[in-house]
Amino acid sequence: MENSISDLALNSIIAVFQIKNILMIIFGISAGILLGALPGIGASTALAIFLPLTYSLPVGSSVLLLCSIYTGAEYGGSISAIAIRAPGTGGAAATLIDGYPLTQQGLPGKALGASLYASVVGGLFSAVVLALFTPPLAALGLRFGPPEMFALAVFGVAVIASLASQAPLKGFLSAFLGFLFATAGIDQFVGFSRFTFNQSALFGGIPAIPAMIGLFALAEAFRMVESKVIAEKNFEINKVSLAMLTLKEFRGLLKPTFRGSVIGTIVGIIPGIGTSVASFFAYDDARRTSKKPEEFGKGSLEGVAAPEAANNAVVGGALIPMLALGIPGSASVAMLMGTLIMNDVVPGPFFFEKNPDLSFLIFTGNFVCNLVLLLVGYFSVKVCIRALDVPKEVLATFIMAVSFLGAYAHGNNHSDMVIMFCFGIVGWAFGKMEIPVVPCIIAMLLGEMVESNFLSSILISHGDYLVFFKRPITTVLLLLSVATFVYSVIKDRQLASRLRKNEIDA
Amino acid sequence: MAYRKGEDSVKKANIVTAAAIFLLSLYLFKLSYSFPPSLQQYMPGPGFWPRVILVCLMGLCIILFCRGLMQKNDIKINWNLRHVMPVFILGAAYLATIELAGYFAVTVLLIAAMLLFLGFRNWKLITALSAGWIITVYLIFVRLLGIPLN
Repeated sequence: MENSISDLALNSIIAVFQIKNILMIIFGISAGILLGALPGIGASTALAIFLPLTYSLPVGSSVLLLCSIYTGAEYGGSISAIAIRAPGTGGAAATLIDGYPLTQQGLPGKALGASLYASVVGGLFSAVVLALFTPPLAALGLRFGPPEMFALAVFGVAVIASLASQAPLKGFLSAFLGFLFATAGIDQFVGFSRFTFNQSALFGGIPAIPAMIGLFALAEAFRMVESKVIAEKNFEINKVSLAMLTLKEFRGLLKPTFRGSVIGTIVGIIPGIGTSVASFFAYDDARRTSKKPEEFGKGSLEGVAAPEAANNAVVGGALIPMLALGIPGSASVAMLMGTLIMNDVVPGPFFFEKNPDLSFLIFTGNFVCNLVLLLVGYFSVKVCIRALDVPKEVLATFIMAVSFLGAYAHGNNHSDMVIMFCFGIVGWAFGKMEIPVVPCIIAMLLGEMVESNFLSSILISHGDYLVFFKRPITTVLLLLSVATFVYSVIKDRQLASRLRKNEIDA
Repeated sequence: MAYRKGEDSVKKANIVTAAAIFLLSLYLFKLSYSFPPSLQQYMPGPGFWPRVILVCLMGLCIILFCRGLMQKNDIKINWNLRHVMPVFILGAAYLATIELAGYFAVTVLLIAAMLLFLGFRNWKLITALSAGWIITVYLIFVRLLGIPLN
């Protein structure tokens, strides 16, 4: 018997407010804020570090934990951006433009207050959009057949690859390597083991979770070991606390916060763009529409609120294509998707039909995460500032320990640790050579689905390889993918020419 | 562009990486022809999709390789191997010994060795951090979450 929407909503509220889930959310928000505040860690590394905790949790609690870490981390990045001019996450890079000048004027509390308020509003806005728009998008996705799903996944990966770095060709290289890694293991149609080299550990394919932990967390630990940069503080810790905004300030921030929320949600829906682009778009929009544009860059609260609303709104927006279509648009969402898949829950058009309770739990949980952020964020500032004192060497050691633990606990399997370690070295080397890792991990997650839809398309069309060009949606998406690739080649070449010109001019 | 010891160039890294991935792809492409044919009418065999990926990968490698050769400007990469290689070796040693001695014993040594290598000389802190980690992991993962770590 199908439950009505109101029953599902009520059940989800009851489930979210169970003691264990609320504690999970509070813990996740706190941990996310703390790790997000540490420059260089970021949301995806924070998620990779805490992924091992989800192994024995029910899928609902796992998703709540990871969503709350993601939400917390996106806000946490603003704390170090405002306090010490070092953004903890990419999304906080625009926040420091006006956040740090406010600190220099002796008003760090106001900046942090504006940041928290805007982050919560942005997150709540995108949580509502997530709940309203994901089911209709999934319903649209149900009308997609294997050719459309194949083309959509290819287009998603193409966009992510082209936007992932300044050298788009390297993004495509990373993506195709990810697709290649995904082919290892027992093939799903014939049952033959491909590229396993008689290693039983690879019969099930290269496990995505240890690979993600290696590429994000362990690689970051390696980078910390070689980095000698210590962030500077120029004020006393005990003088920093969050300050309440006045009613006038609050009203003045309504418009940039709302506009930032809309921008962040839309950017989050589009795969590959990310929080830093969203926050800069929002900052630029706020400056152009402000009644006091001359204050921007000198300590404008609007310049703090708009990007912070945007970067937290990206969280809900990014969940929409992942849940509705099975396409993760970022590394952080890829981790969430990995957790769902690990629990035999497949995101995509059938997700809502098969998992109505879980769907509503995610909607409600995402909303509640942002409410909890308001409470926890208020008290977390001083703790985060103190955490910036932790030496990078200690941080690197424990990130390495957590990475090994995460891989080991995944399957109590030594080979997972070896895979994680190898991917850690690969991730570190990729970083040196400016090859982005996000396309690789997303292609690894989508690889099996892409192959399966491709082969199913061939089967249902009785061996017609041109089936993809006989359907309008598929044709458009594949042509867009090719266009994205061609654009990347041209952009790559233009970048090389520009670098050459700069060298000549110098 | 002059390089000090331990430094390299993005151009060289691009060329070497493109060549290495191309050769690996070529080997895997050849290997894919040893896969059995499909059992179903109309369906390509298990080697078809990997070959599609490998052809795309080889094409990309050729573009990157040629782009690398034609590249006149360059950027230095400092591999910092002097700092990072010992950590790689520590990690490899950890992996080699963990199955013999068990997770907890070897992890204590890993944490202590890493902190010592990274310059910590405060033995009390090293002991506290190593022991603290083991206790925390045991309580959370083994007792609370029921995940065995032996």
